[in-house]
Amino acid sequence: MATEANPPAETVSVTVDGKQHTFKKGMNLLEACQSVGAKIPFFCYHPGLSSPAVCRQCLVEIKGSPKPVPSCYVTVADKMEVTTNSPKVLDIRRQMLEFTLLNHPIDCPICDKAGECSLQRHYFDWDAKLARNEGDKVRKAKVVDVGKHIVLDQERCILCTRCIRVCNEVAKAPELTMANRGSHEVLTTAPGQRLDNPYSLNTVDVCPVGALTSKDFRFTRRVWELAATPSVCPGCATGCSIEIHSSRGKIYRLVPRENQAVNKFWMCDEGRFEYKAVHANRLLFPSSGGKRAGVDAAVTEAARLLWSGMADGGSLGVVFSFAATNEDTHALARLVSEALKVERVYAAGKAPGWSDDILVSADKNPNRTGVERIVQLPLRNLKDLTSDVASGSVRTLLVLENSALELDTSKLAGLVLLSSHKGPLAEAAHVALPVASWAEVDGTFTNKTGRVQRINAAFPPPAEALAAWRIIATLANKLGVDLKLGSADDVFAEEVRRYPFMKDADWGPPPAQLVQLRFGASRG
Amino acid sequence: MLNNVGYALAVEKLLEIESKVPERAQYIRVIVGEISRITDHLTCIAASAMELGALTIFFYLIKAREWLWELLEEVSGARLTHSYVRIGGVVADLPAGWPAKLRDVLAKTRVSMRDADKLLTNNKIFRDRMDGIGIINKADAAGWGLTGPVGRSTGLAYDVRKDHPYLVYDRFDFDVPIGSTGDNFDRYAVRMEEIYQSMRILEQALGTLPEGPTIINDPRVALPKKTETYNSIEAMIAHFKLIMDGLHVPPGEIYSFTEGGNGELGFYIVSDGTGRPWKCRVRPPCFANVAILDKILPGLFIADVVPTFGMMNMIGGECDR
Repeated sequence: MATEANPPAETVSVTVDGKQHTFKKGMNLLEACQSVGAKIPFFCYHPGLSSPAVCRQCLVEIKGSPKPVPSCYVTVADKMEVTTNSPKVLDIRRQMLEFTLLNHPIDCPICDKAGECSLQRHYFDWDAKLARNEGDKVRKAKVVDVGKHIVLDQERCILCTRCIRVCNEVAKAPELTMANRGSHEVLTTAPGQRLDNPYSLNTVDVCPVGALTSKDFRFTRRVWELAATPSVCPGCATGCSIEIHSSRGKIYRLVPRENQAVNKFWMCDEGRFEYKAVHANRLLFPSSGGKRAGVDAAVTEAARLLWSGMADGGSLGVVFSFAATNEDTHALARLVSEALKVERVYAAGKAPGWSDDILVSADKNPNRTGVERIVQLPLRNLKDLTSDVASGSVRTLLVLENSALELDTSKLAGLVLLSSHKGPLAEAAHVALPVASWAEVDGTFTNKTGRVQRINAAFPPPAEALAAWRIIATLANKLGVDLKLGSADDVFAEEVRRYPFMKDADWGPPPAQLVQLRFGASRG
Repeated sequence: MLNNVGYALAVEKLLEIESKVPERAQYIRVIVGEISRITDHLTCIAASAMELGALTIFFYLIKAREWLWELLEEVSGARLTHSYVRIGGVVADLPAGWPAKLRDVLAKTRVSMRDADKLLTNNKIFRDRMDGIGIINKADAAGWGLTGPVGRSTGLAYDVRKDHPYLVYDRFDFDVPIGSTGDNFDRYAVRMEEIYQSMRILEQALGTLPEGPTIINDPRVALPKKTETYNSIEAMIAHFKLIMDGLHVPPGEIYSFTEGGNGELGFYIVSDGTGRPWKCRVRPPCFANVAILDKILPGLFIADVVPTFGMMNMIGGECDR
């Protein structure tokens, strides 16, 4: 019985295509219809944005309403009777597509969106009739340089205004607008503005057609040749969910993946360029004493250096990395406590940078929280490290990642570096071992809120690089300790048992087979 | 062309559009299919005769094959690797004047066939190598799944065109020749007669060829015309989707079979609803036919392998799938 403490169920009963369903009160009608399997196409609606009902694709018939109604603009109401597939609705849908295509240029062969284009999909699914117009198309500007990362093709634009709403509602930077009317209406930048807010590339993602394209991605790869790997952006401590779009061991773009708990549908422009580092300046082969060496020889030499360091009266130090995965950190923590038995541990990472209250964090490291929670010893910082090395109290160092550290290494008797990238420290290291980057390993990052998030290997590491935890396990073996770490999910399972903050974390299903981005496998 | 037709029919059955394929396209498919059958048999007989020393026959029959291939080249653009049949029809209508050319070629081919027949069929050298060699009995033929001329040479009167008519084969009057002893000579004789029967079908098909479109009128199946594709966004998208994403076939499975040159040519396709088959398995007739060589060759002279293998007509590209 409904009482004040127990209010009546907040649901409404709606008939969709003859079948009765119950929805939560206040639900968007388009989303409600979709949730029960009704197929309704749309261009302007986006689950993360407001609905302007401009594209007229989602029109449905509601009993009692004299005209068809845009379902994206209506909330469900009790006893509503909706028809999504009547001949009238289908006919309107087809006519709207015909209008939309009237002035659309014949660009598919040279358009970056081809293959993940909503217009292609909806035309083929709902229209598929040949052209009837015989006149010329209205010509508009092409290759308009609207911003730092983006090129606009006004002819391709279907005037859905999603990009305008992304700027207004997500980036809070009203930089885009519509100008002129009718067939001459165009998308353009607001007077005196450029499209260069820190979230500008989200406009490219939401663009249903190829009107807005990314300068970085355009003309590099056809989208159906790309495979999508779910991952997490390593650009800052926010840890936005992303997809790595790669082909044959090379990343072509990073795009946001829906995650309502973290980034919703979005990511910042800066994060999208994190992939460039995966392919630049990589440490490819192990070296020992400045010369290229085999992995085994280099690990043996590293073990010898660490052994001497241990013998040298507590002058051994270990440097963790805020950029390394939980698994690498866990393996290194076990090496520290079980094989090296050192107390002197440090942690370093990228320097802090700018932040905002949308997505960007000041901490530019993806796994600071994870490292701080996994390493049980007090972590000393970079300043401590610099002074300890300068004073000579640390004479042997084992460093994970952090090859860019500026450190006076002249007093070090031994420097062992496990790094994915080259850098001053790799030059100075007595032994340098190449490790896989974030895009090449299965593992987890812990973001700033303590959320443990899974990353997947998009392709194998280059040359002789290996996952860092694997090298650490080999190193432990050489030092006479078997860490018993067989695979990345073994390491993860051990972490879940050991660390309270990870007790609810889930490795997820085995790494899914790569999905070819064929016609909206994950996009469009 | 027989492979073209067999695959297209299988996909059309999955799409449930067989009945919508225009009649003219079905006639054209019969015509190009029967031409292919004739060229197959001509090649088999010509090559086998040559291997037994009768080089003249080779020239007579291969010349006829060349005339026929020229006709297929005219419709498909390729001499051997024809791609002319499309899901839903054929890519283009027959060129102007083509039926008259075919009639002319058939008349010339009859002359070549008559010459070959006179020189070969009662030639003692040839008969000594063929008669009673490589005998297969009817029960074995059924048991081993032998079809086509090889199966029919044993007396097994199985021809997909008659027993499970497809396209418009039920409208034509033709006979299915069968052998009695299942030896090499029977296989030769069945092939010779099948050439004449195919010519009968061709003449009837040319005589009753209806007018009309040659491909289904469904933009989700048939590619738009090139002029449309280059000049309208609608046709461009349709072209793009059909080429890059593929023709979406509803989930399901099908085994569809036709009479190929060497027997039952089957296509087993499983669709998962996308634009590419989840599985596509071909039953090449000569794969089954060749399997029985293991049983019939032991006990023969090494020299007998030549006509026996020749009459099996194993085609590497067909067998190895």
